Amino acid sequence: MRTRLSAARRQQGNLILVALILSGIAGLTLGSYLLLAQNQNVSIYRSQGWNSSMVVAEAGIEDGLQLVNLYIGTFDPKQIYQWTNDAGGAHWDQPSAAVYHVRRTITTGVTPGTQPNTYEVWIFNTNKAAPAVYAEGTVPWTYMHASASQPMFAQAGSSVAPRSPLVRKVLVNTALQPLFVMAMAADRGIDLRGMGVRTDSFDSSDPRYSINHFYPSNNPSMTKDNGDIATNAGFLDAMNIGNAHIRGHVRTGPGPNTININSGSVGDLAWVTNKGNTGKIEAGWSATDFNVAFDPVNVPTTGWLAPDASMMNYTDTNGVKYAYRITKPDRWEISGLTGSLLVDAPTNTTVEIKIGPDDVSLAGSDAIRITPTGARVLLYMTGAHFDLTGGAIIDNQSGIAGNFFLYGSTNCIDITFAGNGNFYGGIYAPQADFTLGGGGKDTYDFVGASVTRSVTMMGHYNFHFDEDLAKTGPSKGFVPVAWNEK
Amino acid sequence: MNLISDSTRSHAQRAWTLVEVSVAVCLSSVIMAALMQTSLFTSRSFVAMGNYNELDQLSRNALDTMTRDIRQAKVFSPKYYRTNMMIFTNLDNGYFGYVWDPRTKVVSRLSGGFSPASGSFVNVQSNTVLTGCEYFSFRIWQRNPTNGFQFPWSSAGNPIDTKLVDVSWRCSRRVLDKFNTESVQTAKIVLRN
Repeated sequence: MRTRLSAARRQQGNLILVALILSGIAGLTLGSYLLLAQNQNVSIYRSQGWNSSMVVAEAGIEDGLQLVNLYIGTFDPKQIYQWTNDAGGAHWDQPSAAVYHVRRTITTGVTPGTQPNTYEVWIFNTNKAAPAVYAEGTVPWTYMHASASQPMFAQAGSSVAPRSPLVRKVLVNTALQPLFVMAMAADRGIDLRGMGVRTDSFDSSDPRYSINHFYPSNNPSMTKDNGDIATNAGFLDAMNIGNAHIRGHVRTGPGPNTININSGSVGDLAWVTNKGNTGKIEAGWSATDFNVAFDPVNVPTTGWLAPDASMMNYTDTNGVKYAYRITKPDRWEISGLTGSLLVDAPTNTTVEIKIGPDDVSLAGSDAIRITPTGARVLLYMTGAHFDLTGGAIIDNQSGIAGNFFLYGSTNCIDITFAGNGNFYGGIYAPQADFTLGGGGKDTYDFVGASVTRSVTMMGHYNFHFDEDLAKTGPSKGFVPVAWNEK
Repeated sequence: MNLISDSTRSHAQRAWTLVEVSVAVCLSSVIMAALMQTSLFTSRSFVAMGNYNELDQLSRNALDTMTRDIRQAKVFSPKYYRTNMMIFTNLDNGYFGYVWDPRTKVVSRLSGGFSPASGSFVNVQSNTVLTGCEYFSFRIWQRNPTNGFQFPWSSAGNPIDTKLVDVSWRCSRRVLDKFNTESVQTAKIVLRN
């Protein structure tokens, strides 16, 4: 018996075939779409991981910088170099003599089931004045993708596909940042309303720009044009130059019309001495991008001694009376000062004096006098007011700015100089308003630098920035000077 | 024994009527047209999507390279600053830059040295970074934000002001002369040195 398929049956077979082909095409198209979408998804996830790994590497750099700057606030480079003694306490190991290493895991914000980000940091301290920080940030990136291999049959879902971790490397070279890098810096306004204020610079350590380490008063060609002044303030007329002649750059915080100038001038020597430039600022000698954090003073907490009776009420051979006379290089603490202070310590020594919680209030012929032995004096002011009125002066007889530093703690809110004598030294009191007056018909020199909350200069002062302060003077700590991505 | 009757054979071998053919042709045409339209739409969007993927990947690679370059640059050269071109100096005093040619719609990365004697760039190498760039712009800003939010504009004449480079571009491609696939990138990059 012969059996034949009917025509209807043959058509049904064709239909199945066509349906299969169409389904195949649709499936292929859909699969390709999904593949494209997945590729895009992977690309985005990888990009996020790539960018995250830089952030993680930066965290490593921050970690390294935090260690090398353990002793900032002391401003003394010798103290700052002591960070190596504390590396072990901060869980850093030391694979070789001048290399410090740490590996840390960032556990915060880790998605369950994923690997945390990590960074490794090496500090190469071959040159202790310029340690290099090298960090590797590792981000084990993953991405979610559609998956059918779920516990239940035909259950759709997603799973995590791990990939090789993304690693980015950064090498940062550091250098000590000087505490004083310009003649005058302030967080708030600078008002040079005095008559004939001038700024310039010299270098007490360079015989080309100084005479026996002193400012070359009678030789302007030996002076320099780095008498810069700057303020973080960015409000209207934040810096009033008035009729001052600034041989240097002026910088304020961002903002319109932040600098007011009347008959003064700003620029280099040729520019400032040209009377045709009155009321003008030389092109390129002003900017509105100043934005500097002034760290508070870290006053040493231990080792302070009270002067004994033999150090009080001293009269010198000229009959000048002093409330205190300090001859021994040590840490001396005085509650307040209303009479003269004489520091007569041996050469190449350092005398630290802390005055507070009471004020310094000197008047008449009172003085803080430092004999010209070459001793260095660090005066920490922890009282609120440091006022020198009348004929009171700080008489640094060495004439070297690097021999006297006045550090104002956060309690010190104003420093007033009557301005009846030359000043040689550095003032760092970021919370204090600094007022410089007096002078009368005479003009005095301010040799050194100042960093204060604000500046009001009413007297006749010539402000000479000693550039040696930036080379051998106090330091803020290590800052990055070169950023290299590997 | 033959089980197929003559009447059945005649019915099976009988041709379609005109009405049947007409209906079949109409239905087939509609189905084919729908299939073709679907196929065309699918193909176009498929190509557009693939194109966008590629554009996006190229743009992302370009942005990664550019951010790494600019981040570790020392300073830019104000003399050669345009909104379509920036030349930077590296820490090793080498030069690199990015330039967009609006005629060819190509963004290139330039690198090489600079001869002070001739006042011109020497040994310049040019690599194509992006093609089909409809729009490209460099803008420069100061680093420190005012009020914590806004970055003040920086004068091109004063490079020491400039610490932030704002770069934006838009690349596009035409697919089958119909779709315009676009990829837009924008970033603010801080010079670290």
